[in-house]
Amino acid sequence: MNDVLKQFVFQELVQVSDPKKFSDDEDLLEAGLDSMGIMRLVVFIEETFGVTLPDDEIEPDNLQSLNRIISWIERHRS
Amino acid sequence: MLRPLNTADHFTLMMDHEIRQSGLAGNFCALVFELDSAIDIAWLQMRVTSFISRFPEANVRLKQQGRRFFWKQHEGDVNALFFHHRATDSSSALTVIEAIINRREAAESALPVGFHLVEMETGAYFMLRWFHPICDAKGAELIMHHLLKDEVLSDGENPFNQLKSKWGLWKKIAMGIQAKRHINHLDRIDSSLPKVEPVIADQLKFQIVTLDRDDSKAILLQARKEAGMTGTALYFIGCMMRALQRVGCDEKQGFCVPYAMNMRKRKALFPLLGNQVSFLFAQASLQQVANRALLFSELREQHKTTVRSGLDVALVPLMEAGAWLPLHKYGRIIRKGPKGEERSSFWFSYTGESDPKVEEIADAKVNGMFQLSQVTSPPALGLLVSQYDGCLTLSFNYIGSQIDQQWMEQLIATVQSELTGEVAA
Repeated sequence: MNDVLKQFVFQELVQVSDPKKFSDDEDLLEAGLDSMGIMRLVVFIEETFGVTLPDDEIEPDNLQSLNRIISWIERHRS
Repeated sequence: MLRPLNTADHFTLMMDHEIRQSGLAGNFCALVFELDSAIDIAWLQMRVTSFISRFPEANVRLKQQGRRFFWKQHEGDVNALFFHHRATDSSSALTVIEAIINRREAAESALPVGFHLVEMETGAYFMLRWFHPICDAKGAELIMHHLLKDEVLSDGENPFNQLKSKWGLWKKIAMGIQAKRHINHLDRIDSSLPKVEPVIADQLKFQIVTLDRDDSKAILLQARKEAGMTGTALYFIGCMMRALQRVGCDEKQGFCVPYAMNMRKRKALFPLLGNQVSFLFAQASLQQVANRALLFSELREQHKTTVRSGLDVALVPLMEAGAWLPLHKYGRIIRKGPKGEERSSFWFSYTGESDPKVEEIADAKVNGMFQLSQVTSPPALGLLVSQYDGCLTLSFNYIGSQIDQQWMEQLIATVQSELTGEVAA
């Protein structure tokens, strides 16, 4: 899941000099993930991982880093 | 050698035609930087020369061949892209800037980019005026970055072409139909428009409101609270809809606002040129606009449905087909509903925090930045929201002869009160 998510984020949404060096805890919002990007990301996650992410949970705490996004997805998978 | 305009460039060229038909100069836009001191003109001229030698594709002219339009390399003196103006104070400098954005040039001879320094007794304005078919607002920010810095560009596929290359013919046809249905659906609600005097359009005027960092922060927090993390642009659109309704406008059944979506990756320094955008619409009925909570929930839901159903990019194949039409036919289809009425209640753009940030130009500190854009008549009004160093700037662009100044003042004050959320639902 991590690799698929990373690939989407760095290929489609955010430009960083070296995605391999971007840690899973680094701040994606600081790195440039914007409001339009968040919407595309949520749709991608729902379609790819078959989960429904509630709108009222679209907040910085769940989107700050790759690890937080993964935890968020995991919470809705189980 | 001729280089074809991309699909979105062609869209903005069509808007150039429509703006000229309205009686204005054409689809010219600007980024304007306010500087705290005068700058070294020779250095700036040298940077312009260096920029054009690194990006010769920025020194082109439009050429029509058959039905299509192309960029043709221009071999003229690159110093002709740099202009030096003088003004006594800020007020007269803004008058110079107004004259520059309204300067008329035939589309075929229009400079794609022009760099204007307006020197005052203390301080200066530096203005990048661009002909919209050459690039979008994010591209203009990138031009400024590459004008001032010798950054090595990472190679990469043009994101807009990359997106288009993913689709086969049948996929494009299906998406085009989907987009057409979407537009037909939008046309079920007649759009309200600003109050416009029935006189000939003369020229673009503008009023700039720069908010301080605390007020800006409060507005962005309010936006997140009411429109969610994905709805910052929608918050500004919704507040403008409500302000128009409150001050009084040519009221119909609702409001409809087109806005552009940047296809580049955030933080990407490439590509500078070519419009790398798709388009979305925000629409709300009068009843929804009258109720803040209902309005933002409707706009959010609409945005979500748009992205989920792929409509955020479905307009691209429709634009691709439109590029084969004569400009006036293309313009009619894009702008007008079935009864010939204007679809756009106003023009809107939100570019977020200036990025990459231009902190100084030739050792002169940048104190602020605003944007300008010509508009068609109707709707004769555009709101461009940008952010520099945490401070929001609202740039109200309107047609001077058609929009009443007092009405405009009321609208600006009402937009501000809507943004701060001071207004009860």
